[in-house]
Amino acid sequence: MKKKNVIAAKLGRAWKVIRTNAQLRTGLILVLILVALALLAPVISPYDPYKLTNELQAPPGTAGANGAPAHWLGTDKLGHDILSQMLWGARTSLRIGLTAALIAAVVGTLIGGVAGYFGGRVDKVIVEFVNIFVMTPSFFLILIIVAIFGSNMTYVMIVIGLTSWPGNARLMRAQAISLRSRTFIKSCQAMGESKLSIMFRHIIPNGIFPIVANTTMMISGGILTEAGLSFLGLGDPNIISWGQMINAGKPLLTKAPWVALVPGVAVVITVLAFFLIGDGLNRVIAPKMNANK
Amino acid sequence: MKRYLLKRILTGLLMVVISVAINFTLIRLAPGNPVRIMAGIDTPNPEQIAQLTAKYGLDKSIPEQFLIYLRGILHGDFGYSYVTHKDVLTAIGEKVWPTLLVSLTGMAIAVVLGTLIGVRCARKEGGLLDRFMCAISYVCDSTPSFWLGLMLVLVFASQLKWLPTSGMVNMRGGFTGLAHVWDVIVHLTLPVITLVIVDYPYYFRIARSSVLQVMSEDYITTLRATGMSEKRIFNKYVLRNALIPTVTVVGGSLAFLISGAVFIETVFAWPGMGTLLFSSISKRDYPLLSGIYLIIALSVAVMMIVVDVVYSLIDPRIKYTD
Repeated sequence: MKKKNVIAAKLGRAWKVIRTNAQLRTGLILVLILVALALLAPVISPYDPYKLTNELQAPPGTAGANGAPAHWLGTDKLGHDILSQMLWGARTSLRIGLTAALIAAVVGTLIGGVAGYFGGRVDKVIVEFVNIFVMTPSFFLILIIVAIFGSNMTYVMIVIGLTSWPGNARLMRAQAISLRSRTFIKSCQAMGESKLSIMFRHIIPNGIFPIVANTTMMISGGILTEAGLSFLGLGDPNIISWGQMINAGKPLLTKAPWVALVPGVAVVITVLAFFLIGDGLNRVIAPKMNANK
Repeated sequence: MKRYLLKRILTGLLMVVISVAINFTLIRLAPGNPVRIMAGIDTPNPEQIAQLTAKYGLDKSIPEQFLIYLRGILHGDFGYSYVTHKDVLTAIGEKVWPTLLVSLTGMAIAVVLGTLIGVRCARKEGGLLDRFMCAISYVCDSTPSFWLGLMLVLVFASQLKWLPTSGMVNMRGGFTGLAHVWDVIVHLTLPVITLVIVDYPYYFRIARSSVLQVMSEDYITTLRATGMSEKRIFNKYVLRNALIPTVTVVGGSLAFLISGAVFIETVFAWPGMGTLLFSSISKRDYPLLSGIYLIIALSVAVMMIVVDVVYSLIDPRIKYTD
């Protein structure tokens, strides 16, 4: 019974935060719409995204042949329906952004947590290691890895994730250092709880919030990176992605500008949505910086 | 300070060596082989392949190759590009200036513009301009540079025909002297505008939030209590302290300047490092790739140390000890 009340109180507080925080509210609404569209893609797409229709480079609003649905956002050079491709592309963007950010969150939290809580020599070695990582130009590294080892989507997600964790590690380390001198951690130590168990049961759960905010921002970063790689022609050829659509629209820029325009707008909105959520969460953490209420 | 600097330089060097070693290994572990490309596709001759492999030292183990590479660098020899048949430093030297031209110009404008708007918005916090700029900066931050570049080309080059679509000079113009300079400026405009739009929010936000933060400090309240004019407090005490974070991030961005313009260069067919990087990846030009990476790693390491030194110069409160 008591636990139920605690959960209800927490939900109530979360709701109040969402209601009063414009960034968070806007971002959450946008993300919900995007996720819904991505999930419903197989149902609501007017065409199979791979289908080559007979209307080539048709401007938005062109009617389909023989009573087929209209091409509300036009078609590309090969006759793909852009609206359908957009909906399927949303799945790619969300999947890559979420997976990459999650990998970065887990790796960063573990490394930063160990460094901050264990301290001493372990900390020193990890800090230097993180410094090396911060100094590598990560996009350059991603570019080389993807270009040389192949542009499989799984690779892209893992590589983006494994190159973007240092920020999280630094945040978690700072959290762990400040938490480890608190009384409740000291009591756990006095009661003989093992170091690893304290780290996983107390340090990480209590210090995770800034990492959550940062991870949301990193979803944006992941989506942008994937779009960039695809634009450079290094995307996975077996999937539909907004970056690849922009790349396909580049040579058609003057003849069929909608081919590049539409997916670009989608990238901006998606990245903006996650960015707003991350920023909103940061404002919750540091209310002092809450400038425009 | 001296000891601190020495330590920083040593760790910086160590980091460069480690990250170049990782890169060196990674490139060579990858599938694909430069000798195959050099030997040709139609009639790959096993003897020729063996000879080329030996010539470029690719028959040795990777650690051995790395040691030979390091020894070469200490003698000022960065290797010989397999594909362009030039010394690596020469090949990079030819392309680094166009990249620096576009990215330095873009960054300088973005820093000045972003900081000015940021400071102004912070002074009138919550005002119309502030709210407008905050909203716009979110959108600019979310825009992929390559897409923005394409859209600007569409509007200003294809439709309005005000500016050229791509390249660095008009190939048919053959301009010299001032006409050449003007030609480059015209070609530079769109890439620089793209860079400024995408980059300014970063500097805007940092300037704005650090001014706000400094203004809430106790010593500013104290100065106000003494009756000092708001203008004097701002110019003499707030601004100086608030610009420190900007210096740090500018240093950080300078470090990544050489590698940062790949997208802009691709969109505008700008003959810089991005193009070079791309061709060296696709042709497996190992020495050139390692060379580019080494230059980037070195510039990052140097800039980080420079930032630290500048930091202690502008803010006497910061003292380095080890």
